[in-house]
Amino acid sequence: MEDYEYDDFEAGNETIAVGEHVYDEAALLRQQEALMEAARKAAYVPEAIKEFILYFQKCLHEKNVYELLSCYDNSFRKLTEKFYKNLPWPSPELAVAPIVNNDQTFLLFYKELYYRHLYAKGQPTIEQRLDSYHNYCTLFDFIINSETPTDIELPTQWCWDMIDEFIYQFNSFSIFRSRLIKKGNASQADLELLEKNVGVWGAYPVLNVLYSLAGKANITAQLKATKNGQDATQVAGPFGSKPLYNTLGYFSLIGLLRVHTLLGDYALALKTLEDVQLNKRALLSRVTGAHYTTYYYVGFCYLMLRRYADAIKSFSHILVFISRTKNINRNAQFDNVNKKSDQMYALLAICVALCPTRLDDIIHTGMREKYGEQLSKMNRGGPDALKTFEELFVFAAPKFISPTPPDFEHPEYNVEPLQHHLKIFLETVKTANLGYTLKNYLNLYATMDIRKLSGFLETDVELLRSALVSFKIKNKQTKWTEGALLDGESVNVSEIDIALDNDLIHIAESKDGRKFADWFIRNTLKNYTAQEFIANPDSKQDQQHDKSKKQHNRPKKDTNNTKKDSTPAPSTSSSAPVAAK
Amino acid sequence: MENTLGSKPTQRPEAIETILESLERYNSESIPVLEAYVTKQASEGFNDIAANLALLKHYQFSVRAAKDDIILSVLSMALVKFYTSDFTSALHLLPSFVLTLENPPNDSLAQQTQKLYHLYTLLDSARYTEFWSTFESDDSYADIVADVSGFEDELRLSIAKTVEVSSKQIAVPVFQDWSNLSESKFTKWIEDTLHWVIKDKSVIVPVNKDNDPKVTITTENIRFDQLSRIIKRAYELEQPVN
Repeated sequence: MEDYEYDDFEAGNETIAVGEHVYDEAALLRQQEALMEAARKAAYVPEAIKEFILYFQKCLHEKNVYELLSCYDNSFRKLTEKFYKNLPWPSPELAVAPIVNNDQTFLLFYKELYYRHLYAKGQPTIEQRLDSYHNYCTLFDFIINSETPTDIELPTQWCWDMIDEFIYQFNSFSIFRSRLIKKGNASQADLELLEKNVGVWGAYPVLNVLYSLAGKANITAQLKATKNGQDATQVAGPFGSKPLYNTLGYFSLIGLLRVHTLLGDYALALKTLEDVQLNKRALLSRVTGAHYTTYYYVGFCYLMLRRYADAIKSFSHILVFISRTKNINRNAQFDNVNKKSDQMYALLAICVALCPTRLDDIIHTGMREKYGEQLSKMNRGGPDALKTFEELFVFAAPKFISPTPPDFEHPEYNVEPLQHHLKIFLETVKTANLGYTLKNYLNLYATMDIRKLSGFLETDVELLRSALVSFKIKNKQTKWTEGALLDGESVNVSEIDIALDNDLIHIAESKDGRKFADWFIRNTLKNYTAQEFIANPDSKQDQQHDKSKKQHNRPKKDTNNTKKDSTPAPSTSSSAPVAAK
Repeated sequence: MENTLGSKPTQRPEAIETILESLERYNSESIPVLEAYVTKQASEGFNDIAANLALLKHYQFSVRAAKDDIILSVLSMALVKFYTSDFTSALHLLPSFVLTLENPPNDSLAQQTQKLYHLYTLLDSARYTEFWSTFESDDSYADIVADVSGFEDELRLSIAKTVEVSSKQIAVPVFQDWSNLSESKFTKWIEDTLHWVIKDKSVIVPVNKDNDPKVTITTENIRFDQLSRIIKRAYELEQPVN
């Protein structure tokens, strides 16, 4: 639903000529706003929308979570499609308040959707951004700062979306503000408005909301208890035992992971998740958005902490999941999932270039298809490689935030945080980048004289010696084995291990034995499908037909990949029916 | 190589632990406590990066509270452990302009950070000889790290550590350049501090699990849940089909 592009407001500077009049972007925008304003003032609400709002209100108060989900997830989207594709939803104060009898509680939640829709449809004005912020403050205040827990219940999906959107708008505001100041063509009124509201959408209040939500539900204590096999409800407290608080608290931890990452604090980001179990049964894997968001940020943090093996594991895990479920995922989220998965393939390519690793077949193929060219560029080294690292990083990194409001007086100090993080990252790349070339020479020998290698590489012997020490040290990474995300043991993650013996390099390669199990299991299952089809050719024909089609496609991918897959994979195309028993 | 973020230093006092594990980490009253702790680390020669990152986080939000000398101490201590992610982790929390500002004013935070950063890039790529010559080319480098007691000795130990991990033997002239010691001091350092042996103009590094690479072949492990569908099928076969 959200637009993760963020750069929509760069598109501008369009002009339209109408007869002798030429309208520039600003003039057009003013007129568009006037049109919207008129629509808002008219406070006209179609009958269907009126009915919907009343029903929505009823479900919220009757705690009918099931129906509420259908309103939220289904009706709202469909009605948007029909009525408000290009217009904002009816104004909360002017149009909706009279319909719902000025029900402030309902309006809080309605406004959350109203502003989210505004953000999704285009570029909100400064006032709208500020209003939305204030609505979130009031909404969270309503939830957190009451004597007793509110008895409102929200669908899990909505809880996630709310946290997600809150952070998205925070992120979007920060970028919007710094671009406005950088461009230098912002109107005086806008600048004054921003300066007056300098605390709005600040990192501090945003963190405060997320920590408060997590704290209110005692979520850390609950997760610790669950992890130790105790009953979480014992420590949940009056708030934490309510699903609303519990869910919001839990998702706030993921929100914190994200905000800390955006601020460049990768260590704290991972620490925030220390009690969250990343497994199939976790709450986060029940909401698609939460699922891929978590793994994206966890992987990214590992990448920035130079734990490439862990980053690769995180990205691979979620990319396998996405590729397996992409056919059943709902359409509304499809674009977001796609975009995130492209970003993760890019980050994965970066990781693999820095730390050559065997990947899961599906992932390897996916990465080659999308970034094969870039990967070989990165592996070749040199200035071209560095440029490619930079391109992929800029494309795939989250949109960093500056923790402090921009300096209105000294614009030269307003460096985009991306430039800062990128610079540090690229320095790491420069030293690690020789790795691939070294590996290619080293795996041909068991021992080798350093002078010989320096001859091949046309470098100075002492520089090469340094490079080899650096290569070895870079390959000794902290790798997670169990416990919290920051835990881990120091292991050699490369397939090539070396030791220097004066001028002699000892080289040992660790090899993966042939792997049969996966191939065997897949084909056994294929065989079952074929048997079923033969046994019941009529009853389930369509369904079976579909299935076998899908399976025809799969082996093709595998065979593209023969270099990687050491299994000879005989007759992978054996989805032809095997003799029935 | 130690995992500095995942383990806590034995010297960390209870009070600091409490700050790090609670929302006190955002309380501005924690700032002086964490600052005093940085000074303590610098004078006693240990490094608690997690606590120092928490302090830099404070500085992120309240720029006016930031003290340049404390930031530089944190960076200098992190530089000692250049083979971990400590130094870059700290850098990421500094204001964006410190690295990108061109021609920063003399003695500004930006200029001094850029100097440390340059040293870091040399250490990170194991160009130790170049590191020492740069470090000694200008007094300003020593001035920046002056608050960290035993900076050079600790750094030398870190360099030795990378040698320990990567080498079985290393030629005396090479290692002597890398550690930047005169011949007599070098011999003493090898024998008394590292307890290594010099033989035939080579320093012999004791065998450890890292400097003795072995060819390994990993075999696959099959998890029970990978077989679940096959086992389920075996059960289904007992049922009449349809």
